[in-house]
Amino acid sequence: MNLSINVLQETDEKIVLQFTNMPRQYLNAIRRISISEVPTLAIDDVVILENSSVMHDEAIAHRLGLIPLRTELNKFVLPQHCDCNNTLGCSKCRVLLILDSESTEKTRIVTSGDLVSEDEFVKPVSMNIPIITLAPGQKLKFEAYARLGTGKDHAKWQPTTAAIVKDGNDANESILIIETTGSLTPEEILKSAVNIINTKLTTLGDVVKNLDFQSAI
Amino acid sequence: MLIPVRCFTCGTLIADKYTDYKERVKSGEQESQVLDSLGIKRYCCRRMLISGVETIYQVIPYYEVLRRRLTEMQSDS
Repeated sequence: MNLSINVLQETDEKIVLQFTNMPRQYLNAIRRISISEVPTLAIDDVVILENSSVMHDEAIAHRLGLIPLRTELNKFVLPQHCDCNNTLGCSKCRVLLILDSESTEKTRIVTSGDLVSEDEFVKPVSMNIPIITLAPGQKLKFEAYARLGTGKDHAKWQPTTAAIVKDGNDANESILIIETTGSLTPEEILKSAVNIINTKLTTLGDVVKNLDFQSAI
Repeated sequence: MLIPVRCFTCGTLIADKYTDYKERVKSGEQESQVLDSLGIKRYCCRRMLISGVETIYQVIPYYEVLRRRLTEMQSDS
């Protein structure tokens, strides 16, 4: 019974893997971890400096949070694991994005392409996401802080969209499909998910090893 | 107000494709074909674009008029 993995399809936002002799529960663990525990960057704190648009500050902040940002996993740490002890964070746990836009003559659509990021890698996945439409004379100016987070805290941090485990054509065959929002590549998600499961199991193993069974009786 | 950034159900990014979708449908293309060519496969994402109404464009004209009035008043005085 040897395990084998076959890549059936791979694009920038989708991967289809065929597993043979892989227990279904392990595969489902990978699927669930890649949805809820693989971290990505998303805008979390927004300091609105000026907003005379027709939308409320909160509504704009909500839209900003949902913009997928290209994430470099080994460069950042989760804010709760960072040693900076700063509420605004440091360069290891946050990225600053600013926007300063004004419509003077004509009505203008402000898009994600107008966001200026302090990190050259961390940028919106698409430059054409409309944030707000400004009528002449209206202004929008803010500072936004992007942080790492996981899907179990808020769906904006979910790196995957559809993640599916299903039966293959033959017996002992399973198919894993992972689609991404673009913040991470499917390959990065898969590797990171496996790493996370590995750390969890190692921690569990250590705890069990050091258990004092005698005192429990 | 504006088109939602992501699909409510699955989280796929859809907002960046809406302007393109709107223009192509306006020019007479079949909705289903436009959605197919934009790579929007699931019906949860497809309904986001099909049923999207951007109410912000019902509000914006008032601010445009307001601005025009203001400039007229300034040039009068």
